[in-house]
Amino acid sequence: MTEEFKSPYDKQGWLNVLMRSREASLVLLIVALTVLTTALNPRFLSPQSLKDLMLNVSIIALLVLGRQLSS
Amino acid sequence: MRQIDLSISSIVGITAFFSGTLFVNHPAIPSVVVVLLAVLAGLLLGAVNAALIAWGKIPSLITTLGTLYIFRGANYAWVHGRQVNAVNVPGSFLAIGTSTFAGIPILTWIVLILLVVFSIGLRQYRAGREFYAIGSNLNAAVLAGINVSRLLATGFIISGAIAGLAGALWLARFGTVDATAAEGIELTVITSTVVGGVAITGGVGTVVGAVLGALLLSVFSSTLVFLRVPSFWQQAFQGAMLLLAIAVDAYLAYRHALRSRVKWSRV
Repeated sequence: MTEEFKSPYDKQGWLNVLMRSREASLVLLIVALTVLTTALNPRFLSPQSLKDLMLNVSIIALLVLGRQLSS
Repeated sequence: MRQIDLSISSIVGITAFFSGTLFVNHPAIPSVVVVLLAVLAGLLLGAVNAALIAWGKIPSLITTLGTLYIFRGANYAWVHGRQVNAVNVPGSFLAIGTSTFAGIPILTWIVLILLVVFSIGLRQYRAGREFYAIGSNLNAAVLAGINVSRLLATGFIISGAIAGLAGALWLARFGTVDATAAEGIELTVITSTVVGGVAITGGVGTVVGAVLGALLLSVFSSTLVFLRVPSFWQQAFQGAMLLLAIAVDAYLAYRHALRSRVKWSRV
């Protein structure tokens, strides 16, 4: 029997691929949230709001880096 | 390394106020010196954790829970109700949080550069791989000849130094610092890493994933603000996102286990 065994769990749907890459699904979620919020309130993408967002993330991101080293 | 550092928020709090008092007491002090002293202070506090964990053999969860309270308590005693105000901080230092280069705040640039340097270091260099090795299988790491105590200590010392830098940046970002600065931030950091796919038990996860986790949480809370969702819902949503991330992980692990069982049964 040389026929390739096909498990029902071997499906390579786009959803499976996406879910396997954590980074990709996070980016998708971030983009989806951004688009949704901007549609409801365009000021979400204003320069000041983006700047605040970047500043808020930066210090957390720095500490996340430290967490990575002690984890 | 199956380790956790809960004390970072207290280290950020102390070093933020420390940076502020340096400017208050020595108005002519260069910003670079302040940042370096803040990093040094964080490093020393991290060394307290490191000594207790690596040589005292106390689990890091207990150690850093203790130092979380000790450092914060010491901070309250030292600050004694005082406050550093933005007027005492030179404009050139506050510019780190207010000025932008190519549309991105200077503070964000500093963090981005450090992220790139550290994520290359973790991936490409021996010491970096050893951190992952200890996280994924401690016994195997010991057998492979990795000096676990030394690496553990290094991790907590660097973690402290990074928290010290974060303290200085905290002052640059907010200008005003009192004894409560950065309180509770350790939980946001842990949530970000879990959402970003860093296993709490160590050995798995990337810096990029963790940062994206932090970004998602920030975008999410910003979304809630813009959609005028009452602020007390924010924490509930953060918690829900944490549980969702863990549920996805558990589901993927379960499917992976199923799949490998099917494959193995063919052999």
